[in-house]
Amino acid sequence: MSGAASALAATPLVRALRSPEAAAGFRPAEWELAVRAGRRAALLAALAHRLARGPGLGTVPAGPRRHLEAALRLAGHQARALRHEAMVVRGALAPLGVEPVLLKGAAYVLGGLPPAPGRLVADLDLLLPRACLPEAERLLFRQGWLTAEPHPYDQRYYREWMHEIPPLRHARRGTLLDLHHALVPPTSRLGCDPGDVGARAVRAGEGFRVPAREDLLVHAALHRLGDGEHERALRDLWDLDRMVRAWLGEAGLREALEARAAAFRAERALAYALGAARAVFGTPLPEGLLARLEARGRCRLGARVVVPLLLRAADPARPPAWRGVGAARWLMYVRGHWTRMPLRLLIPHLLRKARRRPARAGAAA
Amino acid sequence: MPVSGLPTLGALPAPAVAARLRGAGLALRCGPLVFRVRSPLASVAAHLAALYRDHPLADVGGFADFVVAVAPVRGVRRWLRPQVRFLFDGEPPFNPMPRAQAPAVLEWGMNWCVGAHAHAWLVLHAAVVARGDRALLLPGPPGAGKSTLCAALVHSGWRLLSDELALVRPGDGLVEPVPRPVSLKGAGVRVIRERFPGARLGATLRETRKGDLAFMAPPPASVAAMGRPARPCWIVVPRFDPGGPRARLEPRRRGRMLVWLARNAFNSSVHGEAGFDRLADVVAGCACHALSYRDIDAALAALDGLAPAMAETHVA
Repeated sequence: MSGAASALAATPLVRALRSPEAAAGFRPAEWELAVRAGRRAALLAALAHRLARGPGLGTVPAGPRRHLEAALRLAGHQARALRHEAMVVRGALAPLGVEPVLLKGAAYVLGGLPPAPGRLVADLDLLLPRACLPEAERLLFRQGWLTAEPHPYDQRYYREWMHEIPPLRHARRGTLLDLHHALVPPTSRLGCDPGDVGARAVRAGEGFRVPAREDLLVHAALHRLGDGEHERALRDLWDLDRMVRAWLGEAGLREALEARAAAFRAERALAYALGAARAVFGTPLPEGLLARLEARGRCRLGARVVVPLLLRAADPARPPAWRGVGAARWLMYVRGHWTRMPLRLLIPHLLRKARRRPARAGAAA
Repeated sequence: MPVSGLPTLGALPAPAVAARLRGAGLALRCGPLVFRVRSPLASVAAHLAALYRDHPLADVGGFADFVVAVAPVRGVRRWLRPQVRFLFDGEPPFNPMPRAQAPAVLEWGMNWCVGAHAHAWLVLHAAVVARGDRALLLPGPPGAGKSTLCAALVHSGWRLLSDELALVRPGDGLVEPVPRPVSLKGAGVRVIRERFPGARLGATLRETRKGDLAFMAPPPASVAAMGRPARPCWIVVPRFDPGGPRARLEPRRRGRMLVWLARNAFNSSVHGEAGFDRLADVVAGCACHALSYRDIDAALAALDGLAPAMAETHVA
């Protein structure tokens, strides 16, 4: 694979995540890189879990060990806070008669899914049928959830073009809540929402509803390719790795994944994301899956361009202004927007954002 | 006074300090934490050389807890209104500030690192000083006069553990020293200069977001004892009251103190139930008071009065 893949796979963080035993031989400088990259990519607590279940945290020198223990505490705190928010929201939305489906980090942690150990989750993402959203907003407003994006342009942008309403923030607790009605924006080129994720959802872990396994995997891939935020790209690939590894042995995973990738028209996104996870973490994939996804998604040049770019943007070991990481992130940001909406919508949107930015920076200074 | 044989910053010639700050960074040990600092600014080099003179330098290839920098902001503005920003791991956690305040930007940034990331400890918003291994916690909001009192105490027989952030070990409730410069604000600068001529103060920084301020070097003996944790024995909430009595020390209820401390901690929620229990134990083991003062000598005398009395109750 590309140089970006081998560079990323050689970083202390990735080496330790892949095989915790490798960390035993780390020099202090390597521990420092692992801690810094882990903190940046939100993978420090995941690393701590891997080490604790492998050679034990006691084998780690005192300096880095304190940061690993701190990360475990933070992850524990976030999981407690998340559980509380999810219960409150479920209670608030009970009159709807439709129980929301948890997405992304909330689904992993509260569903007890493979990426859960050490997974940091800042906001609660929920899926509801689109028709329920106005009533859901009213019910949540009564419990103190207000919009976090009061600017009229942002409101219109979300409500007209996005697959979610503008984020809500709790007035007292400050926690963020994202209400989705689909997994991808309606204008997205990466894929389309087949509209049956809610119907196929299952109960898991603590009794919350989460998407079916294949839908979780497809969503993780769509999110990685479509999101403009690449600081935590490595964490998203780690989520994919954990899920694929845990479910690989189950009969029918390949067929189910192919069927759902087709339903979402997301073969290309899934191929890129799984290819990137394999390049970094050595994720084992079902026999023939990648080749079939690439053929169906017609990823000719893409696999050689997008995957290395994604990997370069995902490198958390370097500050953004380092050796093309910044450029790669910017390209992936543009690409994320490009895939989200057609140019006739995208160009006016980016122009408006660019015009508003200096005003905001001035107000903050 | 070297700590465990490590070279101190003061042993390094000034050009070498500046060169390290411009290059791979200067790794400063502050108690259990190592900060690796980089900066091209002469004011930052001067601040570190003067106020961290007795601090040990950590190994160049060793583990640093926090990699930080204070760097000038580029762009057209630098000719009109030069600014600097604090960088943690290459990223700015907050907005740029005027370049003249660079030393304060570094100190605030270092505080931010501890408050935001040092969850290995329960981090309380309090100054901490100790007599031997028995600690006095001075919690309080900014502007309550805790730094002035802390500076006076460390020149009157107490040792400095921290001016701003108390690191409580979740395992045993001991406070770990992180001796760093004490930030004196407004009238406190003049009070300490006049009353303790031996105190080493850096340049006065004008019109910062906390008003005029100057940093005071921690006493060498406090820096030398940075490896010795102390058990919290007294909690005193100070309040500077120019219209009040010279100094008045009054007992405070422990329950209220506990709730107040937990609310003002940087990370008590991160520590959850175990953290709350630990904090409750700490408060239960302390005599709790409020101190209002307008005269620094009277305040020192009142706090000195606490020490022998508590010595007996604790032995018993």
